[in-house]
Amino acid sequence: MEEDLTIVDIATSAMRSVDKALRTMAKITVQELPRVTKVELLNARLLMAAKGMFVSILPFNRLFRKKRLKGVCVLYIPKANLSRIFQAIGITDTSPEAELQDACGEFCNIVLGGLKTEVVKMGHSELDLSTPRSYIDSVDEAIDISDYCQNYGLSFTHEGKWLLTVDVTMETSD
Amino acid sequence: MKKILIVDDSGVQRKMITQIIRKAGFENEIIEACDGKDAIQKLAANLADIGLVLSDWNMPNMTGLEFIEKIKTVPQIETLPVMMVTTEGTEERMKIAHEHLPSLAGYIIKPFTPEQLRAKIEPVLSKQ
Repeated sequence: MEEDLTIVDIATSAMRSVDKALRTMAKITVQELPRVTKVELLNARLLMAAKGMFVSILPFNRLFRKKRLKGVCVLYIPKANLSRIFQAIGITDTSPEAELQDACGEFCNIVLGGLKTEVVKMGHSELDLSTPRSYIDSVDEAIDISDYCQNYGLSFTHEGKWLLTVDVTMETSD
Repeated sequence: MKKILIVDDSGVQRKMITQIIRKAGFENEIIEACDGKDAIQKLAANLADIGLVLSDWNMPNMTGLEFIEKIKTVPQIETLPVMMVTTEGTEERMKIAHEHLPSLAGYIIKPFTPEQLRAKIEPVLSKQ
């Protein structure tokens, strides 16, 4: 019988999906995959992310044994890293803002599509994903985090430098 | 030489696919469309010249699935090879696509390597 999907399962799926997207789309092989670690204060991170950051926010939910599970996945990519990540597809520091946003959005879509596939590969039923909302330089929304939420984060580094971060927050109430 | 129609709402993704086609040695003219509606117009204007359609699934205005369903009802396009290029990678989604579109010539999951894309399109393009 299918077990309930945990936040660690989702974070692990996100990690695999980011790794695959980096390898195939950005030609970046991460030597050491990040550990899935518990983090605090997701909203504070979002506020800090307001300047110089591409942020993509994806709400998800899933009905399991009559229980509605809700959560959100947030992807942060520093603007300074965009040309490094997307140089394989011809993005440079001087590329127009719209093209940078398109590249980030597509990367994010690929990561999220992969996350959905990884969750199914783990033996769980599909997650319902909402349309991601993406921002550059400002995040004009807060994420509603109740007392029952847990936050987990993954920070990817390459050649000793921070590349991008993924946070997953999910309600864990019974 | 027949043209290739790439349908994707992301300009960056259209650029990536074009680069891979060029690197694979194909010099076919590329036509780009940003969604299903745009693709129908471009297809109508180039009906006899297009030899392959690569379409994303999730797009605004008209999805890839709706676009392919629509064009496959046109007798002149019935035999035109159409491939889905999408992030929808679960077995269930692939089953839905093949059930809706039994004539689908290929299903390519993003992200893909140049080799994976080449392996799918090469057999179709070399026949033309």
